[in-house]
Amino acid sequence: MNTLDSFPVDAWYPVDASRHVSAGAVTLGLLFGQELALWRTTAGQVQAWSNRCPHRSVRLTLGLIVDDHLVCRYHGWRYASNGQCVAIPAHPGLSPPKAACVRTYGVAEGSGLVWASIGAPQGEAPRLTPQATLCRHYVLPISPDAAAGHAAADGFERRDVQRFERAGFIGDTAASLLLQPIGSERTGAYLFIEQAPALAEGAAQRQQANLAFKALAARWTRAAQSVHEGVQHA
Amino acid sequence: MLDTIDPAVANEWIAVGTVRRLGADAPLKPRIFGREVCLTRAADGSVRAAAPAAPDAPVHVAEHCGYLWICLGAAPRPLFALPEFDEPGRRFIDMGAIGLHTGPLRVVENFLDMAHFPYVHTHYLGAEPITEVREHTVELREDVGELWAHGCKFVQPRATAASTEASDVDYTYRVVNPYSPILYKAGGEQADHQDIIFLFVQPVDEEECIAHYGIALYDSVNSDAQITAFQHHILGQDKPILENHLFKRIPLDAKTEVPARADATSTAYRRWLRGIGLRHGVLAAS
Repeated sequence: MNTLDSFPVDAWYPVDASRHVSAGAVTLGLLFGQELALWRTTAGQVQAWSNRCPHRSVRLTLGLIVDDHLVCRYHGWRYASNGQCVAIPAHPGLSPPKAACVRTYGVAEGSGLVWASIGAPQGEAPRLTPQATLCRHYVLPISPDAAAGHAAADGFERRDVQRFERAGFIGDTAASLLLQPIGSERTGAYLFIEQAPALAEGAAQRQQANLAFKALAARWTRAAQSVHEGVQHA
Repeated sequence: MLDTIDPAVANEWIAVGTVRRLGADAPLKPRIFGREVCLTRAADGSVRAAAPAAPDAPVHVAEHCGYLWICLGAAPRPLFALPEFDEPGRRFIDMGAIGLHTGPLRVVENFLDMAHFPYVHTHYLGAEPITEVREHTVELREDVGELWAHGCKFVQPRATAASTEASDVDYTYRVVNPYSPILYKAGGEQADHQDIIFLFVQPVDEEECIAHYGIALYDSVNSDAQITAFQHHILGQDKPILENHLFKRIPLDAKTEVPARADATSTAYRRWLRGIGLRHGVLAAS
């Protein structure tokens, strides 16, 4: 995928909601057409690895998590959280070659999201306000630049490469939109609203926000294409 | 897709199905190296072959060891010898043609690999903790252009359809051309007649192939269906792995994919392919 002018590789982007990256499983993430294998150590620390075992290039998303190791499904090669292979079952007595190392990427967690970068981002992943609540996210079959253009046209001001804000999205409540450049014609869109303090009011607000976001997503997508339903968090 | 047939393998015989599958009633139209070949059987039993895209280029066809073989090159290499095929009492079973969304070379390399037995074929061809691939001998026989691996052994909980207990099984691999591996597997019904398993790969294109699966063995207990079911169980376990290589084509450089000591056979296979200058189905180093 060609680098996008307004979505540099050297930045943090959301790759999934934290609650989707469960312990004990390997989840697929995507940035700029590159596959990432997302998983957690027993302590809960999230990892973002190239989705490719360096042995025979089999996808690590087929692998198993055993203690703090990712085990490749093909030959059982065992990798520690720094990406280094620590055991090759076919010759138990020998140390694995140093070259048997998975490419690992920068990863962070915050605001209910897992963030990753396949480049060299400056600084930390963006922080949203403490009241920001993730409503839902969609995968839109449009380019990231197109999504950014639609967001701007619909009153979302771009605050950062991946972060857009709109005051008064639902009544007085502001919304934040985060975009994930999945591929050349595919963009992840995560909607947050500034959560109202009262619980009941909050639920109604989130429902309204979800409906409004769904309408936006449908409009941003080409009329002929269907919207891939994201998961509703609230 | 390459415009001309890769000269490294143009003169090799490629299996396209069993002899029985071509009747006088309908042609077979296999696709090899991205081009269609049309096979027809005449009333007198003879087989004609032609490539519609290049009608003037002769397409060689042969019937050998139960299979139909095609050669698209001008100078077909001699067909491999397998005298065991005709031994009295040896049963040949056509176990079908299985399409695979992966590069043809990946399928051959997987067939030659033992290290995956405990992980992919758990409780059949291997199981933890007996995961070691013991040292074995690999040789490229330059005179006949075949790669052989001898002295391979693996402890198998259930080695064949007929197995009732674990055994330490002797394997000999013979690759008669880059797409056509043969396995001689000991531990069958008759001590001095090994099971012979074929996984002849038809390279449909660089990232698409068909595995022609067959077995020639002695087994007085199990039916064709029972033997086939066992072998399909095995291949069915390989399929999701084969279809999940991030690169469907095989890299032949030493850096993209890191071999282990136990990968002696696949290392020799890749060296062989480098040596003949193969490009079809190969991921060029960037």
